[in-house]
Amino acid sequence: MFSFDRQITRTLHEEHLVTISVLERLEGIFQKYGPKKAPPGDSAQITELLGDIINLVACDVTNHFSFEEEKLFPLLGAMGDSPISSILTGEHRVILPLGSLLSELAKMARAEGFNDASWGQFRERGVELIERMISHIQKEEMALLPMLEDILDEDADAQLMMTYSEMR
Amino acid sequence: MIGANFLSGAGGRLLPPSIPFRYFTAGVIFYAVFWAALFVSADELTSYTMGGGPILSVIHMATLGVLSMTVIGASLQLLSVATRKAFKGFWLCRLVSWFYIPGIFLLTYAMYISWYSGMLMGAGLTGGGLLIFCGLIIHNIWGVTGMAAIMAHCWAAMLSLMGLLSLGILLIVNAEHGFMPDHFALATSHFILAVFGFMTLLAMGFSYILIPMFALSPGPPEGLGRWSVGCNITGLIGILIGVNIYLDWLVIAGIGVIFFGVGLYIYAMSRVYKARMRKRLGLPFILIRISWVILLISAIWGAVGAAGYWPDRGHTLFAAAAIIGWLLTFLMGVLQRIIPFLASMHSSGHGGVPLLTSAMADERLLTVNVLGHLGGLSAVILGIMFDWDMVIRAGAVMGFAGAMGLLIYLMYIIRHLASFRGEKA
Repeated sequence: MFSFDRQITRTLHEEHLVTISVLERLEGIFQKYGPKKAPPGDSAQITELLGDIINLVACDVTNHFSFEEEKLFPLLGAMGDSPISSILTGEHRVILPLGSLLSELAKMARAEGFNDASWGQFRERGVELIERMISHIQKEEMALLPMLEDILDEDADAQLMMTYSEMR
Repeated sequence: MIGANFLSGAGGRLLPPSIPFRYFTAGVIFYAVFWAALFVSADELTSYTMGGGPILSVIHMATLGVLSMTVIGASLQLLSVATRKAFKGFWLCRLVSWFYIPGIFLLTYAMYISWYSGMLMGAGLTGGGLLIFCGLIIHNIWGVTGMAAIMAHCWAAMLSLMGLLSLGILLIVNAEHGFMPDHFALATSHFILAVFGFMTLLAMGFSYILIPMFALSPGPPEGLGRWSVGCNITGLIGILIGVNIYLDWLVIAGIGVIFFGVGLYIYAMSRVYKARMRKRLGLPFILIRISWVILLISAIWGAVGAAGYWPDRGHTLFAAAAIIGWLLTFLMGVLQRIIPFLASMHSSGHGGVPLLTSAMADERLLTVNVLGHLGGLSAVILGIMFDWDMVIRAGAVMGFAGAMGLLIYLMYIIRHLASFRGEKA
């Protein structure tokens, strides 16, 4: 687990690391500022974090999920292990819209700053995204990536890596 | 790496939630009853050495009622996923509870009032449940290749379980008829097999799966787990022989070997912890890390006792450190993580919006559990050290409050899970 030999599993794992790092920074901000106290509009730390959230959702999350659903889950289905794909797909259906909403809220906050209402909404959605995403990554790290390590040979790995590079 | 591929195919090998959750619920109820019974019997705790009565009952509420009960629920769920072999008959997993849960109620009640026939009946029911559990586990791990360290922990724990069951029944019969020459050596062997053979080995074995999973971290190298379990089994055998043929040096040597095995286990776990992807692991890992420290302290304190340097109440301190400090603390940390994780697994993949565990139950209840448990543990240890009944009682009150926090949390989770699955059915 987490010691991956295939390029594609290493790449997905590295994206998980990036995602967790951004989410932990977000969690830190939520711990610092409560639900009723919007952070100051001139905080460079928050502006940078908002930009990272927008990038994360646009690049890592969206592409990552599409690639899994289009290329990886069919592979698992072919080897008869579809329940975990079904669980992960179900979670994608919730996480992606949630991430998109948070990204939109982040874009608005970068343009106009937070007021108490927008901060409350951003914080509520953000807390939910952190919980859902961490639980989701846990399942992918423990199930999806080790299974891919088992079933992929070098050629299939190279092919998947090329496909994923094109999608990104 | 130990524990790799753990969740592969998990969706197809998840037990119906009623199976693990019945054991978790019964375990948490016994956890509350344990603290309540300790409150009532606190004045007898420091003077107890062996024999029937309230303290024997309190000890078994913790070991059989909380620890083994929770371990049964977790093992049935985790092993079928880890070995990638589904249990064929769920009815057998349920049958264990029909024997085991009423058996413990009867056994601990009979122990409380020193009713030997009741103890035998209770032990028979409890033992019956444990034998079915043992058969299920052995059938599941039979012929499994890979995960050698985890499998070795399971095998050793199951052998210890059979040994402690036989000794437990022998102890009850001997307490009434007195035909065995050394009841104390038997009781000590039973305690060692139960606490360090069965429960500690299972806790350590499953750590190699659960801790990396919860911390999002690489599993430790297989070799560390193999050396650790090898040392622990060797040390355990040495201690048991030493206790029964009165060789103190063998007991001390056995504890020394176990200390090395425990050290390797903690080194492996600290590597997992340091390499974690998720940096904020929250309250459960505070409990788990404290339990590792107390495990080491328990081994050192055991060696001090074997060398004959325990002060008054040293044995009570040892039992409290091992049972409450190491095992119960570790288990509460694991339960705080495994309950929401299983709830998340069971609410995903049904086509609807997967439930959010933080929305199912107020997570502040888990803080109540942590504070209550740690407060209870500290006060009980302090009360034993200075022979202060009132401090032990205060600890029992804190522990009970903590247990109620976890019980209410669990009830909320089960209620939401039941209504969610009802809607999807």
